[in-house]
Amino acid sequence: MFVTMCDPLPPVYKYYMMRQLYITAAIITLMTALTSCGETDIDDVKPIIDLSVESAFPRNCDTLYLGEAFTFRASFADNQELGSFSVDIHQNFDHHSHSTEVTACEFSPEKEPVNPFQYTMDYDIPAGLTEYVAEVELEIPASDAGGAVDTGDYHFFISLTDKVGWSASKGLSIKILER
Amino acid sequence: MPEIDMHEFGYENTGTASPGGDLHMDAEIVASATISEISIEIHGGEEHAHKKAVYDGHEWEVDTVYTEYSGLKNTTFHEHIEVPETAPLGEYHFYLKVTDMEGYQEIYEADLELKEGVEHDHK
Repeated sequence: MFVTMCDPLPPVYKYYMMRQLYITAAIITLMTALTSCGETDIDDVKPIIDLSVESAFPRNCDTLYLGEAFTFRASFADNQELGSFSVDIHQNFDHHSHSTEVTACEFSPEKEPVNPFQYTMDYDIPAGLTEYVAEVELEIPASDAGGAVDTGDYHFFISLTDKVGWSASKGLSIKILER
Repeated sequence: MPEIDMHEFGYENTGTASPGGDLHMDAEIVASATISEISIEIHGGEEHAHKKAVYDGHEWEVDTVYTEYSGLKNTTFHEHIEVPETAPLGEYHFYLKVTDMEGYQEIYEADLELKEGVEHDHK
């Protein structure tokens, strides 16, 4: 009773005003939501593996030698933050293809694997970087538990993943030979 | 929604494979909501099921879930599925399913034919 007396508007108007207020509030909330979606920096860009830098190794059609250490070196970049990379070396005696491959090299004759070299390793990239030059010392043993390691055509497969999960890969055709 | 772009399905994109060989596939997969899992299902068509008895009860079915792609937003899905020597020749249905972290699923569906003489394509 007291409230109504102090109120200059009859209850029916109050109802419309409240409704108006709710609608306005809803519109403002919606607009804020839409704007913040637009402003949020959604990462939709894949990272980049760059093997064109001068010191990059190996490159397509390069040769690695049994028992000799070499440094894998590649330049990585991402628009926001890099995550991790992996290296996978596997035999290519049958000259199979991966869709990421650049060009074909001169292959040795096809053959059946006896004791092919196989290597897969994941590496973390320090947090917070948009550019990184990976340097990993590797050596392909001349022999292992299975005997002498097969020489011939191999694939050197590089994968790069950024912090949120976009990935890129490069498959290189290389040779592993005996010096 | 995840996206599947199948580049090569079966040897040289013929949709075929041979018993004792492998089924080769190469697809680009993008899921901006992040991949949760990728799975492959292969089973005989209805006509095939009818013929099954002829092959001494041998049948070939695949139901494989790949979880190693979880967390990626895109990947090149390059897999080889071994086809056992005992797999009966004929028509099969093939499904490649990609599920993202929000539960959305995209399915690539194709006919697969098992026949003799398809060149082996090792990894």
